[in-house]
Amino acid sequence: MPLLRDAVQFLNVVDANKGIIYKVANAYCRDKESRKDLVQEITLQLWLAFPKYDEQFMLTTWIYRIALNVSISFFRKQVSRDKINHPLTDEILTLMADGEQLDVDSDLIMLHEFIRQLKELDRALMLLYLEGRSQSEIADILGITASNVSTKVGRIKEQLRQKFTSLKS
Amino acid sequence: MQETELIELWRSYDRKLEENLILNRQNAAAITVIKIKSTVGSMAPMKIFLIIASTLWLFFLGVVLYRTHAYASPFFWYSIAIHAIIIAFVTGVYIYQVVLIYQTDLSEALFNTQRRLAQLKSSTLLIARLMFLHAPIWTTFSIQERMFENPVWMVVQIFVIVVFAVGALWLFFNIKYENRHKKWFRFIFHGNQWDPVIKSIEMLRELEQYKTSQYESVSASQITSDR
Repeated sequence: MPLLRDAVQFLNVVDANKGIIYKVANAYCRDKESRKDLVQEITLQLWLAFPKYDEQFMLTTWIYRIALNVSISFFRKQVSRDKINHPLTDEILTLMADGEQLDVDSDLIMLHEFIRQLKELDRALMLLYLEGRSQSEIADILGITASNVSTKVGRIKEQLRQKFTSLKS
Repeated sequence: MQETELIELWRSYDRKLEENLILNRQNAAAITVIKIKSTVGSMAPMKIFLIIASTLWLFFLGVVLYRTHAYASPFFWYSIAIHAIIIAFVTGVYIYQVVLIYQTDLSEALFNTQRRLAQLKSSTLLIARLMFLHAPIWTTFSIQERMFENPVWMVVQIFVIVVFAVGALWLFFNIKYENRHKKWFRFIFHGNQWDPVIKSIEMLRELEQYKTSQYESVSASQITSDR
């Protein structure tokens, strides 16, 4: 398949950040088949936006913004891409081990479950926090103030702590 | 669970992903060569078509109103005038939606993009409200003055107008997010077309909550700094 020069660069970017794409898709989509579609949609939107990437932003900020925006907006509507354009390709990201096999730790299973129970925006915030992003970077990705990030993260963490405590007791 | 344990738990997941996740370059490359258009952008042509169609309709109504002003029945003339005003508002909403579509950029901050998309979807509910609002004119535009010579016919006509007017006003004021769980609401607005509209209003509420807590956190930090 002949690739455009930018395409090679794009594939390298996707390869280097595939973990971000997978984790965001996994947080918004539990079902394996739907998650595959979501990963495709995210990759597609990244490709469409790639020529306009503004280097003043960190690459990860740009990827998180698109991945989260796609996951929340398009997937919530369950618009199937093939209705709009035409069917896309097969699986873009493959897990060598089954997804469920990765969650061997019961705490990790609970954590994933808890994240999926959060509201869509809270979920984005918690995901970025767990990813170890700084408050200013989270604020930049979400478009809110750093103090708001801090307040919200504090509240969600408290909910999380209570959930873990009640489940374990 | 402590904060450090939480972060460590997530890092362990990260490491497992690192070891197990593979990019299928061939499948990903296929995305870069197919002809595609953005999902948001794909909404624009239909809206533009509706703007053109309703503008042409408004032009036609304008000509009818101008030409018939001198001799038409006032019931006909005012009914068509009200219809034209409401269609003008609806066209305005479609123009607003197209502006939002073209402003939407998925690489913008999450809250900005989500607010635009939620406003875009939720404004569809306003169109539905406006369309309900002008339902009574379909009962008035064909009234002839000679109908009032027959009292029975007049009573029936007034009854129908009042029922439609009350119904339309009631729907206009009651079609709102707070009533989304009511049976009549779910009867009118259900299915794949309307569920995203309701969800988008939920999203706007969620965004508002963030805005409120932003003010709270700013005020709290101001109080702390004042001390």
